[in-house]
Amino acid sequence: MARIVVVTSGKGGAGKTTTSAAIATGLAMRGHKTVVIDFDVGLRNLDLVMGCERRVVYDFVNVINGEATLRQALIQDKRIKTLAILPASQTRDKEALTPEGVGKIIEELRKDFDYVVCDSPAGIEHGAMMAMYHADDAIVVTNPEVSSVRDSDRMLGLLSSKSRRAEQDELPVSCHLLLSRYDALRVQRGEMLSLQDVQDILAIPLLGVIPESPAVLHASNSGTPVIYDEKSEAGLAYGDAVARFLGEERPHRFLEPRRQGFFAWLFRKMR
Amino acid sequence: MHPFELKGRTAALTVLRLATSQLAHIEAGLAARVESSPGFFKNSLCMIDLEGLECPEGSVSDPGAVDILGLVALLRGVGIVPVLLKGGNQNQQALAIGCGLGAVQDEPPLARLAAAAPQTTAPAAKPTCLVVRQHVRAGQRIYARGGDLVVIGSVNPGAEVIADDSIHVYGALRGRAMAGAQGNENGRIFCQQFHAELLAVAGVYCTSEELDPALAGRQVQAYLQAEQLLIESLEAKSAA
Repeated sequence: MARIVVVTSGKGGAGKTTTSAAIATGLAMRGHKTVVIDFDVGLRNLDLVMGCERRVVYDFVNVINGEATLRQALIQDKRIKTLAILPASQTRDKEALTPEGVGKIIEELRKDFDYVVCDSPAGIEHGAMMAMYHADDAIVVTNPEVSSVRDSDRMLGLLSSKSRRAEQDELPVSCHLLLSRYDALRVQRGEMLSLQDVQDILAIPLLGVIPESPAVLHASNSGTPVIYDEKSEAGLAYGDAVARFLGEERPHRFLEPRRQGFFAWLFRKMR
Repeated sequence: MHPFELKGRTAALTVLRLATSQLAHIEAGLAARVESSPGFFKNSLCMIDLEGLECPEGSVSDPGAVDILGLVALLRGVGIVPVLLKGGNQNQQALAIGCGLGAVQDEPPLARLAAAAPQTTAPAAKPTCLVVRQHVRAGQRIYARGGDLVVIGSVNPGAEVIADDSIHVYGALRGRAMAGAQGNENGRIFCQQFHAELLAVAGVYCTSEELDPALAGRQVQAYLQAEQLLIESLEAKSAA
């Protein structure tokens, strides 16, 4: 039975699209048939991060309106056979996403895929509510920063009350914390909220801690999800996160500041 | 479903403290006021106070000489809404009641005005306790109607917990807590880790800015004493 996974945060710029791309790619790399959907009607960027922006013909709204079939709109990922992307519309309104329309598409996707990853827009308005409504799992992307934590907390409240599972009194949406843009050195210096500070408020199981990394910008610019970059800490951390999502135990690797040798420090200073 | 809600609220009450019992003079005084500001009295609630008149029987300042029926008609004629008669003899009080006013001998304290009302309605509901076993998240609001609220978990910043009686948080209180929501001054707020954004008991409130920083993170109770909100640590005082 397919799992619907929403990647949400409340706060904008937390790393939802980066995470959706990385997690969906990671699941597909392990052989699971995965589709990732961009719910950000009007401000689409999942197609950029996935590197398929030049192959978008039909989008989510076209399918809802019956202007195209799902098969016509889905874009096959060039790198992995088991991964597909359903892009958002760039020109339409969020109101085009109707609960019934979205529901029908999700049901159709459930038949063909193991995981349906929903990349939510920021905020708690219509688009974000549509993205989370059908979720079985939620990955709540949070930055170690007070307003991001507050917004994620609000989103957790909404997941427990406004999702389909909540409304129909089923088992609640399984929520996981993904703490992104973590800088262990700044945490140590007391400049940034620690994992514990965030957990004191959010109190949900930790899926992963993704360290701040220049590789993320590079990945979006090149249209290659960062999980492919095995030299970067962010890439490795996403790999760990996918493993944990699938039930494996992995220790959290990037919680402590890296000890640099003297020459590495000197080299960095000289550059 | 309960047919209505009772809320404690203070409204402006104009006191008409009479200096003469002569209706003609009172009428003239009212007319002068209405002429200078026509809407002045419109719909203002009024308490007729006879206690300024204390002179011997038979004189112009004899409270017993005030024609209650005439006075009420006069006041209503200029748009005033008389609601209470303070002072006066038994006969005058009876007349006032007959006109639909309340009658008191002493100044009714505000709190009693609010508390008096519930007794004339449905029998008091049994005290209840609403128990919440999860964190109360930002944007959520929990209201324990008619009783206490217990939260087993934390109240996050941006969350609100409200109770008609007391609030007990077995966890961190980081949001807003409002006890005695219907005016019960005996409501209290207890928590294990105090980081509240705002506390209120029976409408008397205090924001985190005004609070003693030494209380942060401690086990605390808040209660009303002489209309002041007191917040104290629950931990035993160590020998100084």
